[in-house]
Amino acid sequence: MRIIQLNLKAFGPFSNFVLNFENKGFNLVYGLNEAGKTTILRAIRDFFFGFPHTSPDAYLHPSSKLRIEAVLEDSNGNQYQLTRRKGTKNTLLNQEGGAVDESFLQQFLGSLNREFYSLMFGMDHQSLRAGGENLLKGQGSLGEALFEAASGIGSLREVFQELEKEAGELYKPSGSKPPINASIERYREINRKSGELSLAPRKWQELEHKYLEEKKQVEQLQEEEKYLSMKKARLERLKNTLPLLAQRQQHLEEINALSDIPLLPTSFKDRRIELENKRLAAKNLVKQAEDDLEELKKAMEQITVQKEFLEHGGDISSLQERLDTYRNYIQEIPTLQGEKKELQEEALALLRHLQPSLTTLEEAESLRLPLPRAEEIKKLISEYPLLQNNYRTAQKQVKELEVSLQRQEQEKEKAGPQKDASALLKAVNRARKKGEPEKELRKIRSVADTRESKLKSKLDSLGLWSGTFKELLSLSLPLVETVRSFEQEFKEADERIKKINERLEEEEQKLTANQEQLTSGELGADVPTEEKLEEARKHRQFGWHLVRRAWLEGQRDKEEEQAFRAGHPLEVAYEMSVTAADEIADRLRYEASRVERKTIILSEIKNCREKITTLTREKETAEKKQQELNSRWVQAWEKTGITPLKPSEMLPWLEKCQEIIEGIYSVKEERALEKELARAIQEHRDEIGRQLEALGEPGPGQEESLETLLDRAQDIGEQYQAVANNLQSIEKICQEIKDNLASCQRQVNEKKHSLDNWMQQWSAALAEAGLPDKTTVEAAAAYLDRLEALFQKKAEISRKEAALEKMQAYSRDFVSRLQGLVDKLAPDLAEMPADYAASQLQARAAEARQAKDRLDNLEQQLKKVENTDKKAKKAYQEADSGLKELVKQARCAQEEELPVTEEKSERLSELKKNLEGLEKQLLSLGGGLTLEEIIAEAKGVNGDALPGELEEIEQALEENRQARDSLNQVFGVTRREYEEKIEGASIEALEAAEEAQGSLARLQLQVEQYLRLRLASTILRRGIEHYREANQSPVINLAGGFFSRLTNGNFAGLKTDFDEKDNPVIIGLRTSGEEVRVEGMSDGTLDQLYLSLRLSGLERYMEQNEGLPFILDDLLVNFDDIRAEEALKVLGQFAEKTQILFFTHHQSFVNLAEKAIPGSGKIQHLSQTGQ
Amino acid sequence: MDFSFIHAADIHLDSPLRGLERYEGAPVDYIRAATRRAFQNLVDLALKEKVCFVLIAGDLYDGDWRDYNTGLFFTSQAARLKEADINLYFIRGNHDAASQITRMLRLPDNVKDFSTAAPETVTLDDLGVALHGQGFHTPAVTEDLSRNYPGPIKDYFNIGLLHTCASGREGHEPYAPCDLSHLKNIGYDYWALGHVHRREVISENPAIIFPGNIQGRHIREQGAKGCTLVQVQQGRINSVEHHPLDVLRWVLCQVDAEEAETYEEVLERAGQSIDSALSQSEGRLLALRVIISGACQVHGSLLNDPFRLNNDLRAVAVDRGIDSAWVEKVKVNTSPRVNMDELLSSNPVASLLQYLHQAAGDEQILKELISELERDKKNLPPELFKDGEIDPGDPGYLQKLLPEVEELILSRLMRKEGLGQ
Repeated sequence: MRIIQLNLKAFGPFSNFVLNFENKGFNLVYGLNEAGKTTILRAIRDFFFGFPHTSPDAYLHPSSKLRIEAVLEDSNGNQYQLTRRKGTKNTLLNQEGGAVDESFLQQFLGSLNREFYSLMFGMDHQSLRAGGENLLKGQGSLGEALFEAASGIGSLREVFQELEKEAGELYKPSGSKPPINASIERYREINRKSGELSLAPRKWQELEHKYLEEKKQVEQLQEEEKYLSMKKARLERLKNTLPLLAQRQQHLEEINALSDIPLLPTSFKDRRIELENKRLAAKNLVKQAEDDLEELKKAMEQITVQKEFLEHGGDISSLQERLDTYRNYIQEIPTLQGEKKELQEEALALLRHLQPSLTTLEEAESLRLPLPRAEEIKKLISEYPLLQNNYRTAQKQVKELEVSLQRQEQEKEKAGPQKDASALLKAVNRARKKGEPEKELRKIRSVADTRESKLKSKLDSLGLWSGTFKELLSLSLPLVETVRSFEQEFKEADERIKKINERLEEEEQKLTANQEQLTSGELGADVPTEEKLEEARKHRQFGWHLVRRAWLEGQRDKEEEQAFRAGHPLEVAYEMSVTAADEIADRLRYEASRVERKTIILSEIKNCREKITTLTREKETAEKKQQELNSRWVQAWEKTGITPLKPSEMLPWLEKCQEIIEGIYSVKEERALEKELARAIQEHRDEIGRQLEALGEPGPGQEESLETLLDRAQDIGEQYQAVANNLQSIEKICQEIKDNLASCQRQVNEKKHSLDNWMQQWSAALAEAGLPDKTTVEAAAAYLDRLEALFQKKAEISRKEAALEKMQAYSRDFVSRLQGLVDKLAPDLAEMPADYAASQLQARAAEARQAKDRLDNLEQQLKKVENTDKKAKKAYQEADSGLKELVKQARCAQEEELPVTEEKSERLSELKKNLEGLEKQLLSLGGGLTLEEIIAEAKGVNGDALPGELEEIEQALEENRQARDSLNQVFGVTRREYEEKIEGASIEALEAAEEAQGSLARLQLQVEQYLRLRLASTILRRGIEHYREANQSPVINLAGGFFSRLTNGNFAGLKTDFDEKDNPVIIGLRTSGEEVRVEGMSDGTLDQLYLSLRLSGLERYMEQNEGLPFILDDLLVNFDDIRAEEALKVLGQFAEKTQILFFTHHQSFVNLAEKAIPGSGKIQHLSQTGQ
Repeated sequence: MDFSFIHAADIHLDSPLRGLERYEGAPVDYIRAATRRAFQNLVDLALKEKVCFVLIAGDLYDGDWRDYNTGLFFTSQAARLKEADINLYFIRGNHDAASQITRMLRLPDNVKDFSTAAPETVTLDDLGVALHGQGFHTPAVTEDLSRNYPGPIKDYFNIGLLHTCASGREGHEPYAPCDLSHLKNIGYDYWALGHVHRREVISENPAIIFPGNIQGRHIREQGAKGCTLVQVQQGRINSVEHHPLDVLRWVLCQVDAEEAETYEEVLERAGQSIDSALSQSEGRLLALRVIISGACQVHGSLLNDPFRLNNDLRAVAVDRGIDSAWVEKVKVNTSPRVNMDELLSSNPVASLLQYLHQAAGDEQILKELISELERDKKNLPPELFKDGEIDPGDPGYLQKLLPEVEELILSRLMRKEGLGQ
């Protein structure tokens, strides 16, 4: 997938900033520092993966407005335009603004997320350098290298170290400080403490046993004390009860004597006296009431009441209320009648004025105008003056405008002829923009001439080759690097041969020395040797064999004997052989050191000879290689036709050549520029000539320079332009006047129309009002005023008539009511005036009401007295019967016996009370015994013996108490301990156990984290190895290719091997077959190695996934130009597989890219397009 | 005759709560002697409800606990029952059989334990109740004790006390297994079972019930814990009610971190979950295991520093209510928002992940990893691995750890983004 266009609609500092990546492969974006390169990099990521929660790019545009638009193209060439907005969902939009599902982008992104994409498809010079350094730190560890390069993750080592460090900080098997160790220690300590605090069951049993024993003893003493105390209490009781019992007996006897008297209540006497008083009081009351009744009845008989006045009381007072109004009306009626007459006369006068034919006011109604009509006429009257004035003003304006238009037409006639000189002036401007091309042309020409002649002389002095510049350019010279590597190889070959020669010489000298020693006297030929001894022994053995055969088997072989005997008889010959062998053996022994030396020298000689042979062979091979090298060297130059000198000599020659070639290119560029300038000058001259002729002016003269020509043309052009400007301004004024005139004319017509309209309405209104057609505005107004006055008077007359009618009716009603009442109640007032009669009626009614009130009062008093009389009689009856009841209760025959019986009853009551008190006292002393038991207990007791018995018992009690005190002291200690244990039920051991669980829980948390860290480090290491095993060979193969190209052929490729610890490592292979470990590589080479691994990792990824834009940010700043160019070539090719966006702020990379990647497409200049 | 009784089991007096690491602000005072306080609650309930007797179906004590103070505490509580004329009947369970305290303790006369040699029957003639039971004479009883229990006494309300694993229950030793159909058919009215710590009504008629323990002691004993109150009317069970007695409750607190954008947001959501747990705690202290799950982009930062997360969540709990919640542990079960499994094999990180996943299923690799961790295991106290919460020697445990390890590796590798950052 590729980005065709990226539009930062609202992002960071950008608004609608468009970048076109028209080239599908390699795209270079050039911009200075701070030009927003990193912002664009972020934008691409935000577009793919959405804006982060808080975006650093939301300062110019608010967060919600951030927008990035892009046109994408998939591998099938389909294009999609999409927009990314900030939000939580539906942030991807199509062209119409509709939401697009994220899965649409996901199909291209695979399942890369933001982080993976950034790491895998993004790279800058820092990450490149860091990658190279990590390779060195990892000593070429293959797994790490492949993993880091393919994923872009550069922190693998750090992560390893971090995991191990964190784990170590948590726990060290032999430490005590780390948290886990400390927690273990704490846990064990508390556990121990819990054990110590526990109460052992056996210990408890012992305590309990002791406690129970002592308790039993205490209880026994308590029982004994209880018994003694009881006995003591009985004796003390008897001492108290005996006198009380005697008193009791006395009381009982007296009570017995009063047995026939009833026991009366204490209130009996009071009650009797109270009843006697009540009976007397009631008797007096009855008499008083009877007297009062008689008096009241007499008073009532003297009062009479006039009832008919009471019945009509309401009517009489209502008449009184109306009396004042009646008196007023009688006075007002004549005044009102006079006013009415006056108004009627005024109205008739007005009517005569308006319409003499009408004589009564009733007829005047025919003149009444309906209200809307009258209003309309009034409105028309008020509108007329304004309409007329408007019309006149408009007419005057039209006349004035016509006069000024005429004046402008005359001005136009006076201006001169008109021509268009703009084309001429434009041509002049274009030419001026080029600066001073003639001066520049002269300068360039002279520079080029000088450079060319210098180059010629350099070329002539070059040597080894001669020819033209053109021939030199087409010469295919070997590369400097190639020559250098030849130089190296020659040097190596020479050295190799030299070394071999040196060693050969050494060996030969050694050989000669040994040989000389051998031949020198001491070690001459007769030094016995092991070989000689062996020979002599063999000879002797053979002789013995012959002797044995002849001796034991009787067989002889003449021929063999002959050879052995050498002319001696066999036995002699055998003896001789024995002697000879012994002799040699002896000598070997005697001359051992000589023998040894000879043996050594002989073996050294042999050794030297062998070495010489080998070295000679090596020398031949080396020489042959040197020859081959030589012929390869000559061959390298073959195409140039040059017979090369030694590489070391050819290097400066080649550099000189390179210098000349670069010079030639410069001259070529300068000549092209010169030609371009001359052509431009001619073009401008021709163009200006054409324009002048078109205006009828003379064309450029032969001697006229471009500069003079331009000045002349400009003057002419400006003159024509001034005329044109003047005419244009007059024309503009004319047009304005004409526009004004037309609008004023329209105004006149409009006003006229309004006036006509008014006239029509006026005629119609007059007709309807019944006025003559030509009535003026003023006359009509006067008529209307009078008509209005007439109808006002008429209305006034009607109001007066209504008031009169009301007053007369009221007076009639009053008189008739009065008459009615007088007839009924007081015929004596019939002839009296109305108001006098009315007030008399009122006075008589008041008198009747007073008499009635007095009578009512007396009746009420009568009722009260009757009631009192009844109550008094009843009270007398009650008191009397109460006394009779008392006599019966006291069992008396008559009322008079009551006081004596009352006294006897009181005495009986007192005796019974005293007896009760005595018995209570006895019971309280009895300590729970009943009265009968107390009496029984006291029967037959001798009171005099009691004190002695008491003393004995107190003694026994004291003894018991002492015994108990001493036991209690012992038991107290035991009991306290027992109770503390049993009640407190200590939780100390439990608390310690709980705390131990707490620290175990802490330990658990810590251990779990420790295990996670340990596991993470192990798994990561194994995972990386796993990746290496699966990817090693394809990636290394791919990377080898990249590496060879990126190092410009210095390395042939890569291979893998094992280091001293048997870990797989990466090895670089030089062209010469030499193997280089990463430790032996320069920083630059390491960077190239890392880049190779990255590229091959990506290529491997893209075998299974869609390629994505690969973003490089100033990747190559640490590369020299030659390597950078080579790297760009490699990237150019890589871009065929996936789009590359190469950002740089170095102009030199722009140039290099154009050179290295022909047709690398348009270069985006951030400074031009953006900001 | 109408009466009521309480059935409880597995008191495990003075068994310390497990897994509660003490931290600044943790309500240490509130968890102290939790099983004792729960047992006090049991006695309070018996007094309040005026029950006629209390049954405990085994495991009064923890087997390996040696502090006699525990026994003294028990007798002091039994004395409270005695004052109210309430008898306590219990059988010995596997833990009691192992306990020294059981052997040495002199029981108050309102407490009766049943023979361990053979089934024993106690009749309460005034109530018309017959109790049948047999305790464990050794910690590991494997025969079916119920087989020897006598038949029911006629016209009595028959109750069987039995410490048993029933037909076997996960997480409980398989002691005294019994045939449930036998229990049903023997003719008792109520089977008071013990040993299984989770409440379970096995049968309603006859009632066969595990009341569960009265106080949860670790996170695997979650939820309300207590006893069963049984009302009997006219010789028939009228009601069976569970009464919570626990003073501290173990609760899983699920936090949904789905699509959470920041670490702080996760803390905020955790706070809400804790609030909701607290609102249902009936005023009890809660021991919370916070489990964070869901796909979110903060996945990495949640896993990267477990100590920090732990501390932060504890601070949240302290904020939400002093002395009302204890964060026992935090489990992060979140997943990354981008599913790393989908990455294609040619990406090296994907290959790393593949290896990780392969490792989880590959016995050989697991064995190798285990052997790397074996040395550490030897140096650590064995109690650490007793619960099985962590065990570096267990392939299953390693498999559970691997996703967390994966995130640990990834978040560190991905720490630096590429260009333009």
